[in-house]
Amino acid sequence: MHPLDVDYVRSQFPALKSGSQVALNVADRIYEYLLNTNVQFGADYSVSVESTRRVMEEAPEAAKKLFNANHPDEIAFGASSTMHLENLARGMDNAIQEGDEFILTGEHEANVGPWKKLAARRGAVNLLSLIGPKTRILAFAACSNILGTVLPVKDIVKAARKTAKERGSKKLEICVDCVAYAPHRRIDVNDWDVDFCALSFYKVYGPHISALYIRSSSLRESVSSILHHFLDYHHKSYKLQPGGPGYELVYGTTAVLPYLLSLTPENDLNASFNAITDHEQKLIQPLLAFLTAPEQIDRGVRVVGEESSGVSRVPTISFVVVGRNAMRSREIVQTGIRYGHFYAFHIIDRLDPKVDVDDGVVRISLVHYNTVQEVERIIAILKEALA
Amino acid sequence: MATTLNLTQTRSHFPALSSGYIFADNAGGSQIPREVVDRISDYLLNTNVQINVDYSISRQSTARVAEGLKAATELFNAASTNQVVLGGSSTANMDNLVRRLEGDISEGDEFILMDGEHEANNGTWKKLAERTGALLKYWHPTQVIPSVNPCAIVHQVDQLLPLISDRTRVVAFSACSNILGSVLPIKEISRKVRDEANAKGAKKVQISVDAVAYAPHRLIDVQDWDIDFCMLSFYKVYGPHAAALYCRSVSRQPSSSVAHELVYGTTGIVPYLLSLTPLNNLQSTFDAITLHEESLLQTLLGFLTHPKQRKRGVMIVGDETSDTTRVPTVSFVVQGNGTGIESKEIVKMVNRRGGVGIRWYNYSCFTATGIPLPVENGVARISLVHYNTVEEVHKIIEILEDTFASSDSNGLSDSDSSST
Repeated sequence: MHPLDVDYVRSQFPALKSGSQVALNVADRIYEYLLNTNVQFGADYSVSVESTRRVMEEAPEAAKKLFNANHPDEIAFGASSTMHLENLARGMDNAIQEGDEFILTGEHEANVGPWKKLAARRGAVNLLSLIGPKTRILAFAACSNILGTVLPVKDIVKAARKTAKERGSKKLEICVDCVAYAPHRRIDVNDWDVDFCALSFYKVYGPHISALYIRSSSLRESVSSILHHFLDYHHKSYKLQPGGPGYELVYGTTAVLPYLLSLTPENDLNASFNAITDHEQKLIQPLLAFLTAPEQIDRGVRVVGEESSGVSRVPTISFVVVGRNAMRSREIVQTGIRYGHFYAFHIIDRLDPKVDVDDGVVRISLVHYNTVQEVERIIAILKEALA
Repeated sequence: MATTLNLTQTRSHFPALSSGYIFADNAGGSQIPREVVDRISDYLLNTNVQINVDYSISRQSTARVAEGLKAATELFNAASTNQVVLGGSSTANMDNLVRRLEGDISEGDEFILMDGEHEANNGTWKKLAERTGALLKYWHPTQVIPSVNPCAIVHQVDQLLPLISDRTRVVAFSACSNILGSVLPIKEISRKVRDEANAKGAKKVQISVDAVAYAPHRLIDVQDWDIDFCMLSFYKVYGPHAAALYCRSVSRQPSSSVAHELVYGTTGIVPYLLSLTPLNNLQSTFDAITLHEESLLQTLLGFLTHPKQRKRGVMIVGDETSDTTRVPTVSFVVQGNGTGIESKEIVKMVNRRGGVGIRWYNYSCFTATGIPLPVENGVARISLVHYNTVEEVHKIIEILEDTFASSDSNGLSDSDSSST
């Protein structure tokens, strides 16, 4: 396995010189698009041909590789995963019958709210319970943006489908929220056998745009177009992009894949994410060691999530300070870390011991361009804050 | 007396124009000045963090996004930023708006839409009507010189007012059509609609104006117009692919997603517009723009309505007059038994010359007399803005002359025949 060259990595992000950041190439592409090929698509003059190719071919092809999907038509671009999943659910009105059951896992609202609303519109039922004969939708996050644990998506999907079949469910579609997962681990919708998968580029070193994977069969059978009536995109994810995607940002996303591939000499996403995983462990270990040390436990520090490092943990680390000298999360926060419920309302709401949901947890979330030195500085700052 | 635009100075803001390419499909999206793109880059490379968090860079990014909302508010001349929503597209913005309105629409309410206009406005109201049982009525354009040009159509208020009844709930129309190019007198229409609605006992009427094709050419003033909703797409007003929606009063503002970096980019638009005259106010800028656009229009329409072109079968689809009630969005067809040219083909021939881009569109509507507009294969459209030059128009005219001449001698087919 090739280790990460952190200096090279950091050189790709101008913002790190001064203090998420968007890789140079992403910003360059957006800039260049806007200044040189910023015209409406589908016309047969040269500039339009080029703009069309960049956004309707190059970008979906690159995103397809990020998802490991089968066909670029399975990729939709949109302003955010929240809107995407809402649009997906709106497009599925006709595919859901009264009495269908949805299983939601109470993670980030983006993958909860739209399904609840769809259930309400169609008389389906939202159950946090076992898979049964009426189970129709299962929606969960591959990695929690609070807990930082990576779930074994392939195994979950396999087990869910097996159980659903055994219990007589006629059709089960599975939607995986990969927004918090994508910066850390490789997505493989094919291997996972999922139907829908959401990814927000602005969390994966890209601009503020999202991509939604929709399996071809679902696209044909379950999802109706939400576009203007005269646009015929029945077999393409484009049918979930009302108003079209913001072209310059879509083109900007084409730099994300080459950036990720550049992380090791092997030019391979698996190698890149292995190097990322390895580097992340170096960040997680000292941070978790600090937060779970006897001194901090005494102080009332409680990690919200897995306490041990390991490849199923990413450096998204949340904690609270409870007990006799409890501290509100907002008091602890400085230096580019945050407090709150991070839109994963249900998880925070159900913590035991109970925390004030508006105060929530403190979250430190690192990625592969952060360094061990930075972690040491964070620890020093936390020590001061907790004293 | 309007200031004259300094075209060289104006064009220097747009790197895309330095190549000499003639961008003549501006109604499909305008070019973008460097200062707007610089802001997008700056945001992405320097303040690209989650907003509304209490650390310094986040405070900066938050402030930048807020600036974007202020910029949109200024472009609308809205009373408050609370009345403005930013989103990824006007279609998405409108979709979210009408979903918020559902509870306030009763079965049998009437929506008046403009026949033939853009789906971002029409489509969303149609879908709302389907969901709520509201009825649709259409405002049809009038043929103003039917014996000379049956396609010379303009929407006139006297065709709108009779459609109003005691059940009228929404009147939705375009301030300027992206095909026909006529600027409508919004303030006057709004006043007459409300007077008529009051007289006929309509309980609540909301007016929704699509200013998307209007905004690159003229100043918006939602307060002066006395309207309820107004949509604007930045990518047509020298900005990036984001949109803004004005809602005078909605109990819960519709929410929408839009990239922060694009929002920050839009803050470069107003400064760019203000720089166009030394007077530093939007009204002067748009006056100068209007003046320049008139010169482009006079040249282009002068050619297309010349007796020689009329004989060739060229017909403007829209108003033929080149005064300030018209913007340089000029659609036309070339018809004739066996001598017509399909709009798609016209565009192909023009674009094939290289160095210029125009486009064609499907367009159909019924005129006020109830007959369908005699256009079967769409229209060819040339759409210019203030950074286009009269020289560019002359070049386009040369190409059109060749196009009309060459296909005439080849007898290129067209199944379009004129209606008379």
